[in-house]
Amino acid sequence: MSGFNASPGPETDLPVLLPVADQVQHRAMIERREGTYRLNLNYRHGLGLIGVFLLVSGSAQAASDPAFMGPFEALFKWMGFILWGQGSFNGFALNLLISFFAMLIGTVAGAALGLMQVSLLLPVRRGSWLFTQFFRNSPWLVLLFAIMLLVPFEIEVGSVIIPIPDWIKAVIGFSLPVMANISEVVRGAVQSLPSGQWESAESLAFNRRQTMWMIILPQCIKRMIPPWINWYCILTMATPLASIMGVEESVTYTAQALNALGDRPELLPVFYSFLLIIFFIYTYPITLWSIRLEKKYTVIG
Amino acid sequence: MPSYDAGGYQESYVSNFGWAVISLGFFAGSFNVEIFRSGIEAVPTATIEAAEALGYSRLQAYIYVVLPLAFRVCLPALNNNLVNLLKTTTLAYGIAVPEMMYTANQIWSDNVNVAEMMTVLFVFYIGLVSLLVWGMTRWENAMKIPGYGK
Repeated sequence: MSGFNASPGPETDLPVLLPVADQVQHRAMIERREGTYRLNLNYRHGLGLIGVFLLVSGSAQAASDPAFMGPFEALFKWMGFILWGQGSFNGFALNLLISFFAMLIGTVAGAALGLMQVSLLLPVRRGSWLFTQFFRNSPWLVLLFAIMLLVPFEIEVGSVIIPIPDWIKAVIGFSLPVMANISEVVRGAVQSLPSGQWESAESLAFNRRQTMWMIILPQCIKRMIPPWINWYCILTMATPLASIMGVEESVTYTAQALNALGDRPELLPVFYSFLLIIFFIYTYPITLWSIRLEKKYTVIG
Repeated sequence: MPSYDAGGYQESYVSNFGWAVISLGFFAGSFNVEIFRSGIEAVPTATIEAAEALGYSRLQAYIYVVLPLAFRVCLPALNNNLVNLLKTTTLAYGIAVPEMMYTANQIWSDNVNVAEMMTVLFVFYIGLVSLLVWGMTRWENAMKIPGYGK
């Protein structure tokens, strides 16, 4: 790809723009293809969050009426409730559950859709492209609302009534945008391989399906893992959206805990910054892993 | 939250709309800071020194030399951010800002036509995003300087 510095002439001591310019452009193009920003967390973000938490806790401690529970005591009492609910799989555990299943559905459907996008049949290619673009360009909340409100709360199969709990509907709602974006990641990865791979496979008498499964996809997997992990992190951070629809996940439970504590305004920042730290603790190692894989798999040239 | 007495009830100085603008501004701004920083870093000091040698003041060198170059580097990344932000504005629904989703909700609460209003929402949002992406691509192409790559 030609960038700002891609001049055919010799290396110069006075470049118009430094190599950073190419990096910025390259990154922007990757983000455009993948449909989101790359999370680039480092430990300083975590320290910042802990700093915010300590600051607001300190001020809450000072502002609390001594007759009531202090912020640390209140947080300790309600921590279990926010993290996993009461004897059930709710709270933050439900966030993780929603993210697992939404990622699972989104990946399977997205991989299929992505392969349809590189099909040789024009109607399949166009149709799947349109489908992908539709879900890619809709806001997450609108998709979530559509699924939450349009899917019935129970379905009748013969005489059996199968209830569909809210969190399952949230899973479907979140899997749609993930599906569309994974589809683009798959398409981008397949198309990023040099055409020589296809041609040499053809000259070795591989048919199209064999080329796809035995030559193209194994090479694509490596390229797809970093954006895939990034999408998982983005999805996990998006699951609190479900609280708007009353799904009993961590943000809903935090609000309930604050309510039970008498809606004291000084406790609000303490509880929400605690929640931010929990999400950071979960996503930070995953992001680190993704950055390491990215470095390992980067193809030079 | 600072509030004033609006004749019997407390009214906040900053409306929900205001809070939505402030919080989304922080959200998008934090990305833009990084983008602008690396864009400005991409301009070599030799270029700034050359401008200074031609008698530009520090501010003039920034306005006439550094920013035009840096902005062209940043533009694609900024546009990505803007498209993301446009889709994120729906979140203002969560704090009762009367945006498109909130209004649609009011309509379907009255008329029980969720499916129709959802279609309207999808058409509007996809139309908006497409329009923005089209405009931005055109802008990016128009901003290109001949000889500076591509």
